[in-house]
Amino acid sequence: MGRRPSHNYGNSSLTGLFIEDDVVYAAGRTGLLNRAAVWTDHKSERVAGSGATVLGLWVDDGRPHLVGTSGFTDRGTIWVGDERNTFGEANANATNVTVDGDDVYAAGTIGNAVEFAGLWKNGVWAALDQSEAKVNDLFVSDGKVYIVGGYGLAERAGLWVDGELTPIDDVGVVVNHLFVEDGVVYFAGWSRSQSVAAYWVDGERVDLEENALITDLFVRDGTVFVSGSYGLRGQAAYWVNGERVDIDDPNAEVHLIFVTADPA
Amino acid sequence: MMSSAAGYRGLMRRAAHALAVACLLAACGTAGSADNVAESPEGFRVVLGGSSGPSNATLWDDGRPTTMATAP
Repeated sequence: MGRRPSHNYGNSSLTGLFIEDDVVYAAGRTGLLNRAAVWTDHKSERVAGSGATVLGLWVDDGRPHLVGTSGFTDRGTIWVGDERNTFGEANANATNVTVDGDDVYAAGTIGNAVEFAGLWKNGVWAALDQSEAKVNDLFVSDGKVYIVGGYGLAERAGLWVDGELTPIDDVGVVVNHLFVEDGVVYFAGWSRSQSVAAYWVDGERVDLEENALITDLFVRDGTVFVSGSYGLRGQAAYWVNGERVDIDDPNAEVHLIFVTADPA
Repeated sequence: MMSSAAGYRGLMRRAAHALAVACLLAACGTAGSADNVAESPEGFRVVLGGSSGPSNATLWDDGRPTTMATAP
């Protein structure tokens, strides 16, 4: 099959990517009015709600689960298929969503002047114990809830497993992405002191090349995929177990990665 | 008029230059032609989401780019 050239259909940007049963789902915003949209195998559909924004996407049994905000007051919102619900807490802001079995989990913050980070399980809020905590990513596997983010005034990096915090010992580290496979925890981010992008496999750190930036993380069959960019010009690329693969488009920016087993 | 030996040497030199240039172009074509560089590694289907140019949302599915249509 030949390459299909890119065409400018208008301004859009993506905040979520998922594949289920070989169907590619994407979420983001589109058009001059920045309307929230979901694309299913490239066919777009508007997300219900005035002023809606979508920040997280998960697909379960063909039903997209979205989190973001909607309404004139930007209320934290979750969409499951055609159903839309706003979170009851004041100033709720959900950024990540995942489904495990029959349970739907969303992570984010509530509060205004003082924010609390935590998660909703089936709509019920539970805050993390630490003050000034920040949730950067969420993963649920076999009923275990994993969160990475920061905590405390120094925004130290941490991993929460079922609400219990394990500090990430490397100094000046920011951890933004998380994946769990077969009980092995993978996370990715960068070191603030030297801006070295890195990912961790079961606590073991793997540095990428200098001037690299990681935008997303995925693990399939123990193989670690990270997307991002490198170099002073921000060349888009992804890495497979640390081996770089360049995107040929010089204008490309890659923010999301999803990997399945090759059906061929 | 050149001797036949000198002419032969000149001919060989030009042929060598042409061959070197051809090899160089071929090498450049391989390194710079990125048609295959973003293809998924064997056994995997890698799909990337991002943009190609300002606010031009794009998916790369096994290296093939598709720009996302604007929602109605």
